[in-house]
Amino acid sequence: MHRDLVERAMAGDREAFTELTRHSIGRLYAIARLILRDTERAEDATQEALVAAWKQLSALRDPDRFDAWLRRLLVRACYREAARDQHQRRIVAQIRPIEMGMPDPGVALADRDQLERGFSRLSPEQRALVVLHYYLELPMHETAEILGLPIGTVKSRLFRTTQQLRAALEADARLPLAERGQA
Amino acid sequence: MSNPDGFDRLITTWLDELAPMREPDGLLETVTGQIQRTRRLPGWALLERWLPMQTRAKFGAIPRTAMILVTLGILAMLLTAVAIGAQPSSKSDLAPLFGTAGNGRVFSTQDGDIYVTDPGSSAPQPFVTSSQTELYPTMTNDGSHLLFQRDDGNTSQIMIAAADGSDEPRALTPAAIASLDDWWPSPDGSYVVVVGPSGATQDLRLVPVDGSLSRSLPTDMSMTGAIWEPDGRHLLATRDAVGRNGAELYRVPTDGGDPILVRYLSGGVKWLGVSPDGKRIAYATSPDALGGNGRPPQAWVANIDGSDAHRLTDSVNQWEDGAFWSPDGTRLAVTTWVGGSLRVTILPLDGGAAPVVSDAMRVSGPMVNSNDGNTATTIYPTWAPNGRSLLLWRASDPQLLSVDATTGAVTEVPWSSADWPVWQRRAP
Repeated sequence: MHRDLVERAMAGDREAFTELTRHSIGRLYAIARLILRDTERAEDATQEALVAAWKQLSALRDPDRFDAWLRRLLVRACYREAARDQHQRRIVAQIRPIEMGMPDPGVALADRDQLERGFSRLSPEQRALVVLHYYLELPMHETAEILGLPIGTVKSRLFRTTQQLRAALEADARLPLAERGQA
Repeated sequence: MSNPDGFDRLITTWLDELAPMREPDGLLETVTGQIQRTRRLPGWALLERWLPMQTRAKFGAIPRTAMILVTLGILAMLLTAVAIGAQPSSKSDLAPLFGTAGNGRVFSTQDGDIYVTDPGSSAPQPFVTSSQTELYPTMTNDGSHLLFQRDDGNTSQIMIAAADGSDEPRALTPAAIASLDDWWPSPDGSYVVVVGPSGATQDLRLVPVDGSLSRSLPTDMSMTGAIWEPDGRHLLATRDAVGRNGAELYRVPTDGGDPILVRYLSGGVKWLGVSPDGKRIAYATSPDALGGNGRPPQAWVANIDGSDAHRLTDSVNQWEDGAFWSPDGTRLAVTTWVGGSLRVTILPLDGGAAPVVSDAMRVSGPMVNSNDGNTATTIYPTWAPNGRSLLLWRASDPQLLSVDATTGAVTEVPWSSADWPVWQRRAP
């Protein structure tokens, strides 16, 4: 079904591509918002990626690689959004926490807050890596493919990025203790 | 040399919570409307049609004329290099960093490869490069060999190479292992102890570096980590305590004898080290809970059999990451966190001299282990072989500091790599 839609879209069928868009837009938006940490920019990136996919669909050689290809376009769109200084300055002035879903289904509140702080300190490139590997649970080779990086680079970057997240967890955990010790 | 603790699952669960359930209202209509108005580009106009999605470049055969030109170019560069090398060098002395350290080459990792910095130069040079990921460069005690972990994304191998680069790295493990949890070379460099999953339990395996057959130690106790005692006849191994929030520490004879329980450590083990004479252990317990709700890590010292255990400080709330034996075993460097700064306290164990206190660095971000980079949040000091100083590495905003073990004075040392240094560490 999915492959059939992709093949029809590749042949120029707008309705088929609209159907693909309907299937994928929610997940793409979720990825973009995790990477960009901003709802408006995530909307912009999602839209840019999907429109680019439509325009460039004839470049796709293997219909079975449609999802990976689309995610690659999305990650690039996210990078472009993140690089827009003017937009970034506006966002900095309007920083707001991303609203949470239902309370506490699996992660303790304290850990969630620390992860939030640690995650927000990562660069968009690092967040893309984390989102692809941990949120989409893609294997390393597919993450590398989407990011356009050698797998070795992806592994070492992921290693360092998770180190930073771990560090944020523990560093934030110990600061109140240390400061209580000073009081 | 990893510390699996469910952190990966924590990130995945948290991202699942954080991700929006669906796109904002109106976005789908906006996108589909724009698609309706957008003309597709013809396939021949798109560069990506001619580029593979795979990221590894594949090269075809090089034309003969190009090969000749490249060869001539290389020859010209070699002749130039020889001519430059014949000039008197103005950098014959050891650079300050490595003078402080003692001597020897310095290894580090960068983007999945291993680099080496010679004492006489300042820029790291490639030592091991491959399409796979090289991690955890670790020297044998005699400084003759470098061991490291090679990951291909699915499996891992332990590799060994001559520290002077005179031979090709070779794999120690007979077959790639799905996961390596911990590994360390023996004091005499003849074995590597490897901890990793084997079926439903954890295997504790001794791998000879000469390529002969490895053997599992018959513990059947699912050890999670192991280090060597200095005489190489025992390992100190840890496992999760069953039904309790903590770890059990065992002495495991390397001849296959039964493990002996040393101590139960409440909360778990954050750091463990054996004194150079093998008579005592120093360790830091793990925090009882993340999030500031439990007891912070505490540094302890005990006899090797677990007796006479006592804390090294009397602090209540300070976060003590570890206690590190000086090369002669007369002092312990205890790292604590005070108001967001790292404090190194060097404690003389004979009680004679006063402790040396050094407020080393302000914490502004993640830290890694200066020994092997494994513990992300901790700065583990590396003692210089002569015992006169310690080295600290900060990963975020990379910085390398040297702490004078006598005065506590802190100096920044030049280090151009983005990763922590691993010394060859020959004795001075």
